[in-house]
Amino acid sequence: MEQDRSDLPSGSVRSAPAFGARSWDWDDLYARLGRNLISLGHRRYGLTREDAEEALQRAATAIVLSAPCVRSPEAYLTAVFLRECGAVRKKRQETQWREPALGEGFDPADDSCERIEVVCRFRKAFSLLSPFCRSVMRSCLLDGNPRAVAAAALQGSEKTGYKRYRKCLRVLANALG
Amino acid sequence: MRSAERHLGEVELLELALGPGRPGSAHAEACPECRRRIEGLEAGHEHILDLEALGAGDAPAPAPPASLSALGRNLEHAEALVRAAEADDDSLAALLAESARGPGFPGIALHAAQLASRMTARRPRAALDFAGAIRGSLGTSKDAALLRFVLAELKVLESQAQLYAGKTEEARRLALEGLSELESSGAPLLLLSRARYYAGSALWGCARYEESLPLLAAARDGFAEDGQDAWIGRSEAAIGLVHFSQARFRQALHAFDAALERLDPDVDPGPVESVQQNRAGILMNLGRLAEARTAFGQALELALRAGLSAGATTIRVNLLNLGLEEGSWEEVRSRGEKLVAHCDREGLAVDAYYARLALAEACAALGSYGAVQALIAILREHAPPEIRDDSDATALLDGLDAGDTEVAHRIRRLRRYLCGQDRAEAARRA
Repeated sequence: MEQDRSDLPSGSVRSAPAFGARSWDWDDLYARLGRNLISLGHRRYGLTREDAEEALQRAATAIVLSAPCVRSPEAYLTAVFLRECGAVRKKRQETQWREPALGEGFDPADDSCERIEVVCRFRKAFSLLSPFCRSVMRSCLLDGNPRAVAAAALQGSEKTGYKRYRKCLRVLANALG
Repeated sequence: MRSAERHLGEVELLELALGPGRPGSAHAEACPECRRRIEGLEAGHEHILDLEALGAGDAPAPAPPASLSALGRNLEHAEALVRAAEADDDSLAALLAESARGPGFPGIALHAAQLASRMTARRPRAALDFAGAIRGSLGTSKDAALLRFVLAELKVLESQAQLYAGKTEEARRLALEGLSELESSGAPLLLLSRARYYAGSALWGCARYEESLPLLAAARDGFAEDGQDAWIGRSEAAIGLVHFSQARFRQALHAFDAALERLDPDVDPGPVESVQQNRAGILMNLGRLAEARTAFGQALELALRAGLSAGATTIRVNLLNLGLEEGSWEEVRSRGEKLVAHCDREGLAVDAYYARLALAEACAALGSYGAVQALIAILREHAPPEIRDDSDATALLDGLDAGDTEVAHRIRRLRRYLCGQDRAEAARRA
């Protein structure tokens, strides 16, 4: 048995030469995806625009440290950004707890930390499915397509499709705890 | 407790929360605890869709920070250093001296340490020398945290190289030290997961399977958190190897299949070929010989296409073993003779050893006992360290000298032991 992990082509690349297959323009990715992410942090998780921008900048720092190892840049930037958003919200909540409490009903409960954690958990759970299963489960669970469509995509019988579907549900449920 | 009062299981809860047009559940309607959990899971549906659906409006694109803009340039420098190390000429010292003079050298060194992992399998000694040269050029830096990262990454690199050089204990020590230093430095999750992956691999190399598996699972989960499919595939491949080593063939097959679903043979030909080969070996051990032949064929095709000549030779040796299982003695003898000559010519000691074992068994089956004795003499005299250090294999080899009539049986036993069948049978009996 052998563990072969480095027979990798070494083509001409600019930003991510570790695996040689693709080159990424990190500046462009940051600008293109960053706009949506800042908007998400601001509108969905209640971060100020400045906090969201700061979270994105910290995500950039993680990229700078680990760029040669990154294989899916979009997924990586999003994942690190979401975790940074969670950290910002946690810090904000801790600060608020130390301050005198406002009257009951005055300040609505802030569940943004929980929301960020939920999205991170779901992204991780879906990542644990194989790319094919992931697209089938997304089609069924998130886009509302019937299971028969999934079975057809599996090119197997309905029974096989159902078994695979239940197996994927178990993987998701285990990952979500 | 009656079944109607039992809380719904995780899968049912998830299906109710995420399934379209879901049927009502009498229990969920009446149970506040299950309703609360379903609502929690429903939130995931909403938030996952958010990531795709939310538009940015007219907001301006954020300006990239300076460190990100400099990334491409630093990576180019790091790549140049690694290429110089791979070229094995005198250019590395000059390049390194020039890079080390710049203020951005620790960042370049960090990337170079990560990039150089591609050297470890083919030229572990060169990778170790490169790590030493980088460390020697580091000096001091204002950014102490970055310096700690670099030193930890160099240990991770050295650990991989030591593993390929066969120094498994040293590899384990370095991997665990590097991981511990990365953990205490607050390194990004991706680097931590990668260090866990290599530490798990080093522990596998030391046959410390129980310690290896949790680290590899943690690595896989970390890669999943970062959405890095290819790395998840590599972790699954390593998890499969641990199961394989412990004769848990079915789990190993699942892990290898999961790895193959994620790895791209055009990008990662080496790992894909390795997984295909191990998967075929399991099929052979399970007696699914036709499937094993197809799987070995696929692995060989990829190895030849990607120029992985050492991998191709190992596959050919495994095909000899498959031929023995199928009872194709004459074919194994003719192919085996050519393969032994090829392995000797290329200096592939381990492959030559296994090829001779297969050849000896075929000769024994064909009644050529003189040839068998000659092969055994070579096997005993030239057993590579990987075999000599294995006490079980040594004990079996010591018993091989019992005479012509017993030779075939003993060689078959040895070969079965070496390809994992004895362990599989012991596991089955347990």
